[in-house]
Amino acid sequence: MTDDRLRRWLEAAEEPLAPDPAFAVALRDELRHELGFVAATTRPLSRRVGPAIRPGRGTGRLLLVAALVVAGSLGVAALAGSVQERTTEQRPDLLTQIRDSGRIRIAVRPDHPQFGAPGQPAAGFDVDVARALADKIGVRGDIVLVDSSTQMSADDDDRWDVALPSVAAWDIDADRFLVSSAYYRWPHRLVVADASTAADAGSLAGEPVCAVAGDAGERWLRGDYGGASSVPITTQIETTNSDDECLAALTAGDVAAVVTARLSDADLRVRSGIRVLGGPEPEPRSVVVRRAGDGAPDPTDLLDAVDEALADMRRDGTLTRLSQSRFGGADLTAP
Amino acid sequence: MSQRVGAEAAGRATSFAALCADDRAFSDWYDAALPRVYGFVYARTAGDAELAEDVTATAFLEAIRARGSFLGRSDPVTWICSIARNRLIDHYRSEARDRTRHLRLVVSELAADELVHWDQVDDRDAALAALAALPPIERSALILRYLDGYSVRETARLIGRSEPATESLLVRARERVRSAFPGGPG
Repeated sequence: MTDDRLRRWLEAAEEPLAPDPAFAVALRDELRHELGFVAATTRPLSRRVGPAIRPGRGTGRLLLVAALVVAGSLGVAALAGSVQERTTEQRPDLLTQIRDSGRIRIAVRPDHPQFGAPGQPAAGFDVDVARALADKIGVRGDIVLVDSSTQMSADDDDRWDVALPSVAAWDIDADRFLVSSAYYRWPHRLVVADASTAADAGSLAGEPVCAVAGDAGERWLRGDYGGASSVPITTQIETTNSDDECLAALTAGDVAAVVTARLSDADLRVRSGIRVLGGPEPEPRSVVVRRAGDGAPDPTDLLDAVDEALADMRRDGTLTRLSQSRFGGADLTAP
Repeated sequence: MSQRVGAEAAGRATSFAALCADDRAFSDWYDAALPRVYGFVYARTAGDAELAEDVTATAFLEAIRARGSFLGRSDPVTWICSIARNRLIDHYRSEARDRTRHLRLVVSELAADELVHWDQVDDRDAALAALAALPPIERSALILRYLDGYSVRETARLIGRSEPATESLLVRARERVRSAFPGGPG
């Protein structure tokens, strides 16, 4: 074995590697706290790491879990104490609790190509917006990765205070959630082949059109978009699992058009042989807060604070800047 | 020449100080730097993700807390990697003193009937598997010598062994890697 060969072989082991996204986010927050960008009263990573590396396997995880349990217990104890001290008319207020703790837990979805990449640290438009929201509210933002269906289905999910499910605002159950103003509007594009003679959506009636199954684009084709009924675009709807599969069907000539689900305009611009023919009105997407259950803290003030923060971010250009940086220069935040 | 190098160092130090004062610039830099530091550490922990996270976090935190002393003699990522390397050396020295754990790790070395063929695994996995199979002190010596480029004398000083003992460790480590991966680097 030559030294050079051994060295080259070992170097394969130290190529850049993305760590667990939750770790990446937690460390980023810890460093931002160190740099004074955010205030923090609870610092899980500081308990995890210190001058001495933990002596045995698993201790770090245990410390992290212990820190979270302690933090959770403190939160529960604080809530219990608060409830005991208040009369039934004085319901605990979620915004006050968040400000007292100095942190807000914000759920973002990890499963959308515009908002995160598998194996990469949490990054993207929703993470940017979540951080900006926390800054505007004046607390540290802890990013929690939860897929949108779980965000919308679990009533007892105690991992987050507010969520950015990135689903259509009209699909959110208003009996269970308070919904903020839309902070961006996602476009679904009707795409045809360059050679297509179709001039608009109306000329596709009776033609096979592809959409991602269950996506808003499919509902638009069926005439069920935006929470209201309308004339279906076509009666021949082909569904697949992804935009790429739909575009492959378009290229193969199996369908006359495609309605995109997750591809942005920037994504479409880099693909050849297709053109955009229009599409439905962009889909409004909002921040949500769970409605208060029995004895649960009142979320009304928190939603107001979120709306104020979003309004502020519109005024000072933060939302536009974040959108343009993540969506290839496009501003999807305009009302 | 030295003036130019000095100017470059000052420029790096100034740039690092500037991004540490700007939330967005810092986050962008962090996103790019983290995989490089984590990959560096992950290899040196032989794929122990928990230890790699601890060391990575420690290195970043130490660097940020000591950012005022960063002189720009290297890229900030290189500087953070050097901090991580020192923390790992401390860790492996400590671990080597833990005789019980040391023996347990020795017992877990790859057995002759568990040979992995070079063409069945990817380069990173193969290298990590080989490193993981080494006792901590041999792993540490091998990494310092072949990945970090230290001389045998420097490696000996860093791991707290004599030069002959270190040479012996390196011979054994190379032999273990060679026997574990007959179609590999040997």
